[in-house]
Amino acid sequence: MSVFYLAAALFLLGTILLGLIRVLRGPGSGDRMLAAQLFGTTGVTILLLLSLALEESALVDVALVFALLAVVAAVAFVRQHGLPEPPDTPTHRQHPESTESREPNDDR
Amino acid sequence: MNGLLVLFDLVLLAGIVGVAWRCLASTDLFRAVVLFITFGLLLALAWVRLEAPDIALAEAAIGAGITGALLLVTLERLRSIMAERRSGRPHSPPPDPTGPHALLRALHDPLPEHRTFLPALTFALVVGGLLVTALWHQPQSVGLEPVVDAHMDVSGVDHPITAVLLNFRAYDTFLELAIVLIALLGAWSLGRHDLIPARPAPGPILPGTLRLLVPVAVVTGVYVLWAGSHAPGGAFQAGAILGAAGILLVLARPRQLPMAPGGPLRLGISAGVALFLLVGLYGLAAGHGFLGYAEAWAYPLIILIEVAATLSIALTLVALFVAGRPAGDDA
Repeated sequence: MSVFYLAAALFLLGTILLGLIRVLRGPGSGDRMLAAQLFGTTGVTILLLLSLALEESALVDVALVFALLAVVAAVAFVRQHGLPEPPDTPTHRQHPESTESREPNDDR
Repeated sequence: MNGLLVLFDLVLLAGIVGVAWRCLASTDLFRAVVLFITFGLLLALAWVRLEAPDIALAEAAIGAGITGALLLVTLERLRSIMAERRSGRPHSPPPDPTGPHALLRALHDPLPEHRTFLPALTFALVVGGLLVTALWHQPQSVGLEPVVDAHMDVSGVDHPITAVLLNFRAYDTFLELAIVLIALLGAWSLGRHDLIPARPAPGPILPGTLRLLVPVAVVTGVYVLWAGSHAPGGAFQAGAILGAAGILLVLARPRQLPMAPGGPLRLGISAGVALFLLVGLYGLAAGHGFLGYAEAWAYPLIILIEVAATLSIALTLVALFVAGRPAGDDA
């Protein structure tokens, strides 16, 4: 059975390498970021398969951390490349005490 | 089975080298950042194959959680600085040769490629040759594993890596914590922080994601810290996970960041190093040597140091992400 798990992990690693085409060619930054996010999902699966094949239960923790934290880069991306900023938004050389603008999504 | 493993390693190796090459050769900085995130993923798999799950865990937390977000935000900050300069607005403060903008100008200057190619190639060949020679003549040795195994019963913990990091070679870990602290002091010495550039992300997805993820991340961080005494895990990994949770919160509402009060923040950031030093000095006074523990006290002391170190690392990572001294103290 572990041979099957390993073969599956190898196949998934191959899909990551194939998916690199999307990262390299783009064309948009969204395409590149989404490809990297899907690599994260594939990576979680590879780690789980390796944990079964090599019988190392610690790899499940690594997969858990990956699954949990892959979203951080996605949130950062959405915050940097999302909708255009309203013209009066301060972006640079401002400090919180001098900033009064509120964002529409933060009033919960 | 073995053939498949070798094939897996070869494909992984080819992927790592290829991604690293494309990442360094990329002229599009955003593409380089995405390639670097992918590089972190492949590197974590490589650590798994090198049978170092502790480092894989750290690489997963830092590579997946923190570096990607840090690089993306830095890239956006660079862009906003560039746009400001291109629009011709007078930029304050005026550029000085040692300031943070010196680096920007250096990025702008065209590289003198023809003149540096030959020296760079020579340098790479010499360093590569030296590395190969050093590896070639590696003496046959079993390493320190038997020594560690023989002393596990006095270490106070069940996981050899934690025993080495916090007991047998506690000095190294102490200095690592000090380096993390010094890195933050360096970042703070550059001035107060700029706002993190952030665009509005309307809709329920971002707040909902945070509400679900941050508590789970905190629980996972505490679990990894606790697991460190008997399985892969420990203070650095747990600190990185908690730090990533903090970065998520910072990203969610960068404009209304509740600034931590200076005093408690500084206390928390220095807690790991301070407690480590106190325990070390106590060991010196009690006759166990600097950073030595009495056998009966080893487990509680290790846990105490790890909790403080986790707190410090998490706070330091978030503070490094925000970059700059907390607003409101210009002492």
